[in-house]
Amino acid sequence: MTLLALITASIALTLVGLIYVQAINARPLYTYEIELTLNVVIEVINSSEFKKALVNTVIVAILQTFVGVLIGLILAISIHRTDTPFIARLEPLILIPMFIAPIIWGFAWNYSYGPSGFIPLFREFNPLIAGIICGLIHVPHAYALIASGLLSMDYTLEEVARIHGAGPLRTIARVTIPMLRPSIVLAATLLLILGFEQFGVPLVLLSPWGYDVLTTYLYSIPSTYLMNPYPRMAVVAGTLITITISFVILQRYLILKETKRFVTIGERYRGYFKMRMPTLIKAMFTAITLLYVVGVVIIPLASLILRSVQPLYGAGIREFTVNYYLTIIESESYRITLINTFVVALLAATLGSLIYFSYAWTIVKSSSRRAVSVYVDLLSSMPRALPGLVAGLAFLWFYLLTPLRSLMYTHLGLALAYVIVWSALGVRLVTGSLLQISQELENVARIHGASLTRTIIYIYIPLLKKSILISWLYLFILGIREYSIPVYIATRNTQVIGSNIVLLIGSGELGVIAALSTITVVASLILTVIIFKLGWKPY
Amino acid sequence: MGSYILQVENLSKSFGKVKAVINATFNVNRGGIFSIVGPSGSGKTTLLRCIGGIETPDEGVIVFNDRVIFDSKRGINVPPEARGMSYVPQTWALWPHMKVRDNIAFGLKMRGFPREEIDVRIREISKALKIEELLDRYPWQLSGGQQQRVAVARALALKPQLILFDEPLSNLDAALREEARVWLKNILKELNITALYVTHDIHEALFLSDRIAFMYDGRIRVIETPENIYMKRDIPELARLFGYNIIKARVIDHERGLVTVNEEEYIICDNPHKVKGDALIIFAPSEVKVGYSGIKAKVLRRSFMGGYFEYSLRLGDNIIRVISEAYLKEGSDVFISINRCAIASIT
Repeated sequence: MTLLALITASIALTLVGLIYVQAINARPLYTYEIELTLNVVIEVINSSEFKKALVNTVIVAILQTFVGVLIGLILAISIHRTDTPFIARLEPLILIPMFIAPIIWGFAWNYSYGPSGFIPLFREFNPLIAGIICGLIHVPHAYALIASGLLSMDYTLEEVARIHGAGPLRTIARVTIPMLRPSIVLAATLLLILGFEQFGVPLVLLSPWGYDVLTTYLYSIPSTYLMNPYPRMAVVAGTLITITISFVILQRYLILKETKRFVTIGERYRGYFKMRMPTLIKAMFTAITLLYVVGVVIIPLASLILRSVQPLYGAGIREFTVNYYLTIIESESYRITLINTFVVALLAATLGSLIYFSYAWTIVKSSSRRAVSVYVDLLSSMPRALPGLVAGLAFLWFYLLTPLRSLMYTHLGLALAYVIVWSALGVRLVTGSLLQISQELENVARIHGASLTRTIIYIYIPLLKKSILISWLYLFILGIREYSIPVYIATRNTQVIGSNIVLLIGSGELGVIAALSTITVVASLILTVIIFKLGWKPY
Repeated sequence: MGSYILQVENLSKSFGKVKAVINATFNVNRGGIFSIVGPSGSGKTTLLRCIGGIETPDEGVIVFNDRVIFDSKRGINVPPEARGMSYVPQTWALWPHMKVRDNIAFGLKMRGFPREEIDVRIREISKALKIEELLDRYPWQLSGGQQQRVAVARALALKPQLILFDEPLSNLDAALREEARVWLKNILKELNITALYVTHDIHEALFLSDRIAFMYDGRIRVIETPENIYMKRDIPELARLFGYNIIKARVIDHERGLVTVNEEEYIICDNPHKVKGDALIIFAPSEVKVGYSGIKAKVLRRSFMGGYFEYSLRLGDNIIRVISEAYLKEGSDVFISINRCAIASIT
């Protein structure tokens, strides 16, 4: 198990190394020729396109962080700490954006609020608007982390504040929010990282208006530099990774520092403490929640679905057609794409469950050596810094250069890439449930005569049954949702819906894009309902 | 068959820079209850876990039932499941997905007992521990006291050569704990099972044990019978567990055990000691007699404890705790004498 964890964790390290090496090598890596030079690096960094893309990326990332954390904080506090009625039931709807790919949100927002959308709120898109939209669709990420902080916080701290004379709003401002600092810092750095690697929304909303961020710039390089785009791509990819790795390190450092000061992460105080709020405040919280659910989730998704059954773009909502769906069903290549999506998601979920379990075991269990466990822990969190697009590119080179080349053309090869790139998230998923099982349950079993294998079979698996199923489904949803990793490594035979949509952009097949998106949205929503029914919570 | 069921030699275990257990050496007789007592962080639980095979010691030898189960030099490390012990942890750790019956049967199944034998054992042990009506319940349906009985039953059902107990009573309230001590001692004696019992509660250890090892800062400081441990006054760390007074004094005449706390009056201690000059003296709160002669002290505070009083007295530069039935006024000067007092060197 440790060996499996070590091998897969080391692949992540290799991927990062490949990108840096290609950035300073003038020849493509797969030629096995080396011509070290910094010229390309200097050239790219000095180019105005790169500088503009970098500035736009920073704008998008900062706005995404600000908007996402602010709204996530308001929603988490109003749902988990106030007596505002009804809004807690909307929680599943608030979380939906997590399960749908940003690229699909890009289309959904374009069809709803874009210049020729159903409610043309924006006459054009620019980095400021895109940043806000990214923030809105990343609210659930912030919400989940902050809610988790709230639920693990000792609520007697707030009770004492109330009894000592602080009103509800002042208690929130003076006690709750300061105590939540570790969770807020965690959420902010996560959203910042996700903001830098944002690809889908800028590709759909910004590229047509002539704006690039680093990811879309990276994606556009091969069409400008036909001969040998790889060193240039590697420089842009390397820049992105350098930024995101720095943030991952910063995040680790900050969490360490913050949790030493505020012990809000740890034992859960599942007791509920809800503050009685003045009616006006309750009305305000209800309004914000409803506005979010309706404006950010329901209207864009409804527009997307509507668009998939409409014959002409912008022709109103009188006419309907199922032609786009028929096109998809009748075309063999789309059919294969649909099947591939499910096969790869299935493989990735299964392989992922296995590998993350071995990661989590190596990290959590005391039996493994400390150095090994720290190494695996660090490397499993590194892919967090690998934007999907960049990871896909690195995987392309990895497959070309290693004996695993034959995997590149298979579903398994694609699934393996997913699993490595998701490892930060997946490991956290499994580690959480593994940590919930007291070590003593294993110890007693061992001393009473069960070997490790039998302890896993008789103690761990029965106890983890449900959370194994939930993690598997969660990974399966991620698999269906994935669009950026396969952009570079999916071949004709392994094309999936997500990367197919990326390819279709610019083809004008907007109806087909809407129909393909709707199919993944519906599939994701069904699976989301199932994991909610199974008792999944993001915190 | 040797008379020792367990022999531990020079066992050491560190976690990073922290030395949890240092050179632990001791033997456990067959059929007795051997306790390891110490304050939290003294390394007693780590030592127990090393013996159970959950932790791997850095150095040392463990011989169990005449078989070497761990030897760092020879690279022997028998896995926990092959050591033939059983275990009752502090949290009891009943497997939540198994009924009481299956919890008890688990170890027997793992060791390959036939179905009929398992049924017989479950019947016997549940009768002995009065848990027959609980067999078809799940752990969460049991009270704390019931869970504790089931955890003990699970360990006893294996009829092991040695049961490891890690503070098994500390999660019970005071009344239940008293009761549990009694039945636990009785059942262990009745079944003639050897127990290695870790606790921070010295009184629990005195009641239960045949022999007690006192552990502090990773080292076993003394191994004695309960009676002798109680009389052992010259280890300040042990005295602290008993709640004794430990104060600074100066040895005037070490051959006669003469000390002073205020340079005016003298106390005679009953263990003439090698120490000269500055030392510690140790005595129990109940062994201070208040009267009209002796050393002068001032009454700082009086607390009524029901049937007796507990006082804080100022003695020289020290504040001591005294238990007495006599009523003394706060702020008054009194004279005290100390019945039994020991000298210890300042470490």
